[in-house]
Amino acid sequence: MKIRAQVSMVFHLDKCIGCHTCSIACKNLWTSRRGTEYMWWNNVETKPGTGYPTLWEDQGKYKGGWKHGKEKPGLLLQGRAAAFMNIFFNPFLPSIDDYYEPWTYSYRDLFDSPHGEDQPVAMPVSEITGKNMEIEAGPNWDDDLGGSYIYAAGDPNMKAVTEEERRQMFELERMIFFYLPRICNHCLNPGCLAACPAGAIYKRAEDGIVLVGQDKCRAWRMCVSGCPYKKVYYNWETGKSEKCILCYPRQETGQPPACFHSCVGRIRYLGMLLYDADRIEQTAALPGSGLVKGFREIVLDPFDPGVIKKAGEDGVPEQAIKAAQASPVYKYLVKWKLALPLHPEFRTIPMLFYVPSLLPVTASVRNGLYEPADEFFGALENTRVPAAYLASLFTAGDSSEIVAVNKKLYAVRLFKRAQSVGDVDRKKLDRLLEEAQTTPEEIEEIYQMTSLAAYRERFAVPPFMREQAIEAMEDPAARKGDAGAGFISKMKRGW
Amino acid sequence: MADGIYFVVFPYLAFFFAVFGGVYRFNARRYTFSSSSSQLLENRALFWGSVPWHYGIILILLAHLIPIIHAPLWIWLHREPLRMFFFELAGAALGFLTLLGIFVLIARRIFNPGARAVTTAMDWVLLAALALQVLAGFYITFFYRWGSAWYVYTAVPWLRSLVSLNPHMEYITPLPWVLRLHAVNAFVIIGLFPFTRLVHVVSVPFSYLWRPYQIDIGYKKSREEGQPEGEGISRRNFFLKAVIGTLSAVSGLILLVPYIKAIISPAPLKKTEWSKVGDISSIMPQQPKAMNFEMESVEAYMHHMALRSVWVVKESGGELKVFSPICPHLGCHYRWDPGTGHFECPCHGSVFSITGTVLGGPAPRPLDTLPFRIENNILYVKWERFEVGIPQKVRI
Repeated sequence: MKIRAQVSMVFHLDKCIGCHTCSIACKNLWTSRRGTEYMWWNNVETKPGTGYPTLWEDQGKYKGGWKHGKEKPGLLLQGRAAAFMNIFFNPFLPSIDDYYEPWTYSYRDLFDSPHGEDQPVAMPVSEITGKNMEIEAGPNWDDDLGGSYIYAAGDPNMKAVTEEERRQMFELERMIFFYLPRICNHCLNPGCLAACPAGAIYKRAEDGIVLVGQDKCRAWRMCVSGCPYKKVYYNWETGKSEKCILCYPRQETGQPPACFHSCVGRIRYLGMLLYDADRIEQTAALPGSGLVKGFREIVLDPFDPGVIKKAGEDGVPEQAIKAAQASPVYKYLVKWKLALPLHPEFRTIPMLFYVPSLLPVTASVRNGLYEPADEFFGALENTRVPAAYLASLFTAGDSSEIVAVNKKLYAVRLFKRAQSVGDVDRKKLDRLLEEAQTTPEEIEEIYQMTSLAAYRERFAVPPFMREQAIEAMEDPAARKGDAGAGFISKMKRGW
Repeated sequence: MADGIYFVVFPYLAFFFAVFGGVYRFNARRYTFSSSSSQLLENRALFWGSVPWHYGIILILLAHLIPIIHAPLWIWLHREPLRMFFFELAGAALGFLTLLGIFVLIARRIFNPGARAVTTAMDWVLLAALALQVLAGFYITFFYRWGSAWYVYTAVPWLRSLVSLNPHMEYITPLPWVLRLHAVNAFVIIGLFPFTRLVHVVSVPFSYLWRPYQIDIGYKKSREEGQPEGEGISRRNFFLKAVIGTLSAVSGLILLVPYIKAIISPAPLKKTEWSKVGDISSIMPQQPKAMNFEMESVEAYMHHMALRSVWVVKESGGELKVFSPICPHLGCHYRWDPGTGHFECPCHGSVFSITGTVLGGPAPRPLDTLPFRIENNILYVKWERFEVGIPQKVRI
């Protein structure tokens, strides 16, 4: 056993309102430079939908993540020698059109146009070429387009649902969508890191944040394909790959990342996890149905004296162990078993977990009348988003995990309704609690963390662990214009 | 002289630029080390450009390199007609591949707005140099049908002489201008190395073959020792810079030594080794003969073949004497007058006997003899010069 600490995250999808405030906070802080305009280290997708970049989940197209079923671990993208064959041209690299071509408008024309009969128009101008362009796609082009035959129908997860469910999902008045905010998962077994021929990407041992060493990156671009979540981006201007850094300069000063801090719906939780680094390979090789369970098992109990002792020996600082004990992520993931990893079958062991949205049929329109659903158990099993769809997203196809999470979420909801409104049948509620394998105490805890938790409870950022790092003493805004917040040296393209 | 600049001075200069420029850029501006791929912005034409180009050029460079490292292998490969035919054909095919590649690479940078947006001025310079090189190489392949074995006897000795710091440009100077262009342009490209995206060729990520899949970078040891991490880094940086600086300075000085020597004593430094003069079996007794021979002299890194002559005299006893052709009076070349049976200097009328003694005129001492030896009737002479105008024989 080798214990390491990992900063990990939970996004509570039921609370996400799709306002994109997180994306904007991130964009303003990190990716408002030339070459990064198209990057959204944080983006919020509409599901069902094709996502950003388009069809990122389709690993037949991009070859991200790990192979399964082989004795030795291997990437879907490349063998070690094959990396050299594809180094001159990566056949699995998304092109700018798979994201979108960034643009601005020629606002100056509004002021400088000569007097005429027509209103002057600000034309779209490409931020890459500086030429006028036709806009064909943009950030969140499929926003809110659940039920769309172009976007929702193209969602790779739709393959998991039955024809009947599919028909219903595209039926007027039953159309459904929810938001899926995505940032880098800071995986335990990152595909980007394993794919990098130059060995430029690394995991910071103290908190597990995955970073691209900018001085070592040689633009071989394999990380972009190797990451199954497409969360490493290629800066076409500087010729370096960049990715979400989980705002480590903010974390080093005790603040949560900007997207967490700015989240309007307070859907985001951040905390330390202690895990057994010796079990990474074994966990990544688990069969599909055992992945979610395996993810929970690789995480260690931060209150176990044996774990605390071993962690100390392995060099995990005391602050990190304390942060792990206060971690809301540990509660959602291990204690309550409500949080699920996104596409665990990619086998990178992502450290960002999602509490799936609970979308039961609580009422329906019949003969033009709005009627509450008569049976809430029936309503639960007949959720508007098919369990198979969510299972394809979060549990590698294991619907029973989704149903278990939904039951517990529904139990919390009805338990609190019984308390505040009092219109729930007591017997039915007891049965639900039993089926959801929960207790009133646990429900109160979940409720507290989900609805009432304050800033410091949601973000258990470990205290500054780089007291002696000189970098942290630099003014983080020193290079904001030319490189980005937190950079200490200029980022300029070579000759 | 111009040839000396193109084929001796410039190659070394280019090499210095490449090495020291590359090391400097790697240390001072490592962020700019990148292949600067533009695949994200344009990835259709790139396939037809980058793939043929890289596969072609790597193999062709290898074919240029093998004879330099091990010429006999190359000669052996071209000895059998069938084998030679195969290699010539493969070379031509690879030439086509690189030509196609560079053509597509240039075209996409001209016509694709995305690729053009990320093309720097140095990219154009580099593309032009590469295109010129490929075209010249292609022209040589198809219009000078000497077969690729000729390379072993022309450019290879020149390149090897450059590598061994003993440059002989006479192997390359008589070749047609396209070949010479190809040779000089090769060094232009080497010189461009640190100023362009070419730096990516030294970044071949071989370690990917064996490195572990996952990399963690943890706390530095210095942290535990209570030493600020940042200071440790800057100290290491300083140390690295100091080491590289010293090494560069030392190696620079070593290479500069001959230049400095050449500047301090401009006279060609003569080798004191034995020079082969020629067959003496035809020399008749009492009939002095002027024998010419070639002697190599070195000035800095420039080698000259100098033509020298000596007077060889066979005395009646069969004994041999070798005289320096320089009159000990003021350094003119004297000559043999068969009519009088004397050596006579045309400048000031000094007269010497066949044994070298002064018979008349202003000469202060007898003719200077040179050390010599004979092997199988072949005369070897140790060339020496002496101060003139003084009675003593003093070597310069």
